[in-house]
Amino acid sequence: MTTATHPIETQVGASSQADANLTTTQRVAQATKRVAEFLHVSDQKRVEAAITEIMVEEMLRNPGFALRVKGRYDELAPQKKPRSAQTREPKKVKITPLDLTPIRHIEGREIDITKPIDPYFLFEVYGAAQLPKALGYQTLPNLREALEIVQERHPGTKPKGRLTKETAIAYIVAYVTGAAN
Amino acid sequence: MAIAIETALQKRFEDIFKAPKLEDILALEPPEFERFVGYVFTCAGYTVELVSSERFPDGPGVDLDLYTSESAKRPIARIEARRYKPDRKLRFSDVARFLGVLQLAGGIPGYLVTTSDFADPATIAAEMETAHGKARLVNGKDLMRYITYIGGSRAPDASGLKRTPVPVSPDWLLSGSHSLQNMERSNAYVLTVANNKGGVAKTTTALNLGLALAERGKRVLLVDMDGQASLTASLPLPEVGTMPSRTAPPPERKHFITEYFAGQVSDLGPLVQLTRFSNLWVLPANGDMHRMDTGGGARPEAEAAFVRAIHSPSLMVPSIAATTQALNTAPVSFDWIILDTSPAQTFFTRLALGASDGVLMPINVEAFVALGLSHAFDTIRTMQALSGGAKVIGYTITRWKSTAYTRGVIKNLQFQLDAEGVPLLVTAIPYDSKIDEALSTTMAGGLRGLFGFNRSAAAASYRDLLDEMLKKVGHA
Repeated sequence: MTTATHPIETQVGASSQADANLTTTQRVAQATKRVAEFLHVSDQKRVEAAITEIMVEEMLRNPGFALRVKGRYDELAPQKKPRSAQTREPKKVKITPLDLTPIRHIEGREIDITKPIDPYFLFEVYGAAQLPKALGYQTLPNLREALEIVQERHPGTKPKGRLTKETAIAYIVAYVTGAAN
Repeated sequence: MAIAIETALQKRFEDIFKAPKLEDILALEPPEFERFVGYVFTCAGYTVELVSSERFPDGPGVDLDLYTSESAKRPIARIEARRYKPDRKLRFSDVARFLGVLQLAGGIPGYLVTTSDFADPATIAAEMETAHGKARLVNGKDLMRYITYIGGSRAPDASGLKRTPVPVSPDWLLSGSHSLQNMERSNAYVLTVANNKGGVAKTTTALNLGLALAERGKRVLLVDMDGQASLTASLPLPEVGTMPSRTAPPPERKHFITEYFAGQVSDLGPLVQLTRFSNLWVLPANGDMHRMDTGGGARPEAEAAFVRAIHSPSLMVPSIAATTQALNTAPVSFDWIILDTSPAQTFFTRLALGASDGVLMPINVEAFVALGLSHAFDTIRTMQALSGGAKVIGYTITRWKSTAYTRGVIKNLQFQLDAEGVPLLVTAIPYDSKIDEALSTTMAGGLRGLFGFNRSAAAASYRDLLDEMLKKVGHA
């Protein structure tokens, strides 16, 4: 069974796929043009006024018609086009935990993050086995400061070869753990 | 009359106070241990006399007499100190002998203090009707708690010795009526947001964790423990019967938590008030708290009372309270109580920490961040000793901005907090201008909190932080 369609709905139907991308003003112009063509009249301004006045009369006596107009009005609400920035997930930050397990806790120690890292403190907290990894988190300038702390206790000693992260860590580990003695 | 202790020994005792360990106490010789116990009670505000060699020279009897002041004529308690290894428990006969000595020495009550523990029959002996109130048993665990509590509750006196301002007996720790493990309590999880550094987003964190819980349908009470009252200001009273207005000033609050501290009310319940957000209530603060603050000294009676007040089963959702009364049904408590603290180590910060099940520390990575952080841990340990609570859930980085400096020092901070045994919560709260925008909106009476900003990185992060925290505390 097919549903009968009024010719004007086929010709004037404002919700066709082709109209989907038109602006509201363009849709008004297009709908008026179609009614004018259907009625074989040419003055589109007069057509627009006639449509509006008939619509008002019809709406006042026909609630179903009024609902159709309201439904179409809602459909024509401006669709916010998602911009790329709006779909982007908020930027979250996760701090990477240290891949180290403290072997003991030292309570009551003054905490100061502005001082150079003390390799003897790292040794105490993480033990000999984890000391190289703990030192590996440091930059070369930080390791250089840590190295000076070791050299204060072991004057006249220094890393072998050119100072790199690896040679600095090897030197610090050897003297802090006592392996070099 | 006061106990005289050589400088070197006093330094050793102070080292024990700094980080109390049983092994360090066991390393003391028995006469040194007697003096150490005397030193602990001296720091606890008593005048202590060493009497073992003069008045009780023949073996176990009484080592120390306690007086409330230098001018007091009669001791208020006598102490026998036994430095035993943990496996050597004190027996019935030890307690019976001590009770006998107390009786012979004038019937003054006493403390039998040991580094080990008491066998069950010994405990029974101390609880017998004739001994009731006369002999209190302090085992190694309680001694450590007492040292920790006293150590974190004292200030230098005129002689330079650090003491509590008034005598603090170990009875507060022994009674257990305010112990979170033993007391009758509501189902609420009590979280304290604390750090003695200002500007680390304590209030923002307390507020947004509260809002995040509330949007998940949890009933949340936010407690403002800071005289600055920023949390209170961010949660104005709702205007009944009208839409929130940004132009009209919000209605003024008339009741504050200060009424509880002033003793005008004995329960916190009547002071709980509505906010404009669903599932979110507030116990508001005002500037009077600054004037009521007594600082970081010990006030165990008030501290224990606050522990009981916050956990009281009668502290319930106000609107439901009236309904349950009318319908005679079971009261509905809060699911979460979140306490926001001030930057200083005030009396109110002590209260908040003592009453908390867990502590969350927001930390802002900047040069001054760590200054005094160790004092915050001292206060946490002190209040842990009082109530057995204040478990540090962890620290979270707030107002995070990735710069060469912050990336450089963050590992150093992690090392130092690893050493303290404080876990990292990996979710950081990034710097986000929406936080201030949301706060100014809610302060003016608007309803658009941080979670009203869909694209806010801080909002998304606070939700993640809540998830991470919930996993750690195991409380839904």
